[in-house]
Amino acid sequence: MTTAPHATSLPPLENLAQATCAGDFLGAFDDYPHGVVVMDAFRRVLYVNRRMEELTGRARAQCLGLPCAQVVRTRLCMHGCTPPQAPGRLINVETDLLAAGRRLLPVRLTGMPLTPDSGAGPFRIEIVEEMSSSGDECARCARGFRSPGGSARILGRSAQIEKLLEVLPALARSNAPLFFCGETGVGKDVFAEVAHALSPRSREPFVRVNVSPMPDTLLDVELFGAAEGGLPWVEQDLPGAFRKAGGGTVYLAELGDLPLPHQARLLHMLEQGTVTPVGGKAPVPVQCRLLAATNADPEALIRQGRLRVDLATRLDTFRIVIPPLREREGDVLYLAQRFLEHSAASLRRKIDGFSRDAQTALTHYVFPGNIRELKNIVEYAVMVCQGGQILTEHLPPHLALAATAAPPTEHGHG
Amino acid sequence: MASRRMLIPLTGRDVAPRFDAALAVLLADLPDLPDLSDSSGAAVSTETIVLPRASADELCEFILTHGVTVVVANGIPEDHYHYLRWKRVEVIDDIMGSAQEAVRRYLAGTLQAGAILYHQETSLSDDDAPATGGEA
Repeated sequence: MTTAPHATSLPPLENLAQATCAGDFLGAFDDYPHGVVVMDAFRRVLYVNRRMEELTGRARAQCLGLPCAQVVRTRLCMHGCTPPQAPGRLINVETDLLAAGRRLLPVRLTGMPLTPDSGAGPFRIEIVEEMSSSGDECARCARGFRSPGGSARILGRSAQIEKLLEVLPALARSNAPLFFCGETGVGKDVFAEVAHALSPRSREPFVRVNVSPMPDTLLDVELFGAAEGGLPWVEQDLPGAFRKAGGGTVYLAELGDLPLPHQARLLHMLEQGTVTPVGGKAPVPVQCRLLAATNADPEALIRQGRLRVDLATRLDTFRIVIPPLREREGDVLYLAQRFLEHSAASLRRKIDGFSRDAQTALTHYVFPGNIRELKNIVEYAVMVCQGGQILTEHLPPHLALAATAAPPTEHGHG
Repeated sequence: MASRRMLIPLTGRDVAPRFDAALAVLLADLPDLPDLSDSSGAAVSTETIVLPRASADELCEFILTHGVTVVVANGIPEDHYHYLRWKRVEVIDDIMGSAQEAVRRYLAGTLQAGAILYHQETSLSDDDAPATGGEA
């Protein structure tokens, strides 16, 4: 090996002095909501604004003089960056950016030349705008996608989750309803939030409605809104979930709990594209998309008379069945490790992993509460553990007991 | 006999800005007990491999099938980072600079996540001086 004694050398920043003359002008970009980076003809960073510091996770002083591609880390930086000999080229492309915290963000990158009258430069300015996912970007970003402003993420390496991740971006782009089915704790809410984030509607609101037991009138108002004076206590027009969502998405978290009369009105909304507020005289058009979920078997709900057949048929255009954790081979230990790292970091503890026995106990457990339960178990173990590794005795007692009684559900990781 | 194998995604001779978009990698077999007095890293055997396409999933498979024990990268997507950690592969990320310098520093035990290994030939004014050549 011919190892260089020193690190890669960069040529001097000849134009930096001239560039910093524009400090006051560039300083105004600190309040700009998108990332801004200015570079010289050799594509070395001369300036990053505050948003860009947040995106890259590096302070401005650290970035100065470094190759732009190393700092900004968009896909374009690797395979199609404007060459230094053509600094005047305008670009406006959608790509993705690997931000601080290892987050993959879809962005729009706009670059243009800066040629000051002073004769300095030429420089380039590039603006990085975070955007909703669309088109092929969806497929690229489905894995590990973090919904804008939220924390919804689909985690898993099992074949079942891989398969769902392949189809979800395509289904998300449709306007048809999505019907998520799966046991409690499998992540239906997360799938719904990600489906919204991957859809062309992602800039519009995502309205989640918990169909928990409540008086019918209140549920009516919650869903369909109320006209001013339509009810004694309604002093002004209340929009309801479907109008609140605008062109976005309404997510009904537990369809099986929705009373049958409301199901009929829901079906009417799906077919006619209108809702009639409580006390209203005329139907109001709505443009939102409906997502719904249930933790019960839809066919069983129909047999029990809790779900209208016509509504189920309408929702079944795209049914997404999320498998329980016990059927997702390899995911228990993968997710346990992820949750461990997260919990240990938040509690400022240094715990490397699980002992072999603890792994066995985890993989033998059936997790009736699925991912939510696994997360709670790991949080418990991190709090109880005083050493550098989670042992069996750090796991909740019921898990060890159940593990001895149940057959193995998953083999350890490779 | 080498017992540790390092992989570094490459752009030219530098650590690639992104793990998932790299088209070449440096494979380095590291000695069990490096000679710390040998700063040239001559005891390390390296190989540069051109990849058929840029794919983080395929690179993870490559890492596992080639017995890589440590990955040095700049940007790496969160999922692939955790996947490799789960597979007991050490990952040192946010590294900017020469790949060979990264190997040398790793052998010397001074390579830490976030390190900037570029060397500026011109010192900047105090206000603007970047933290190059040191740990971030």
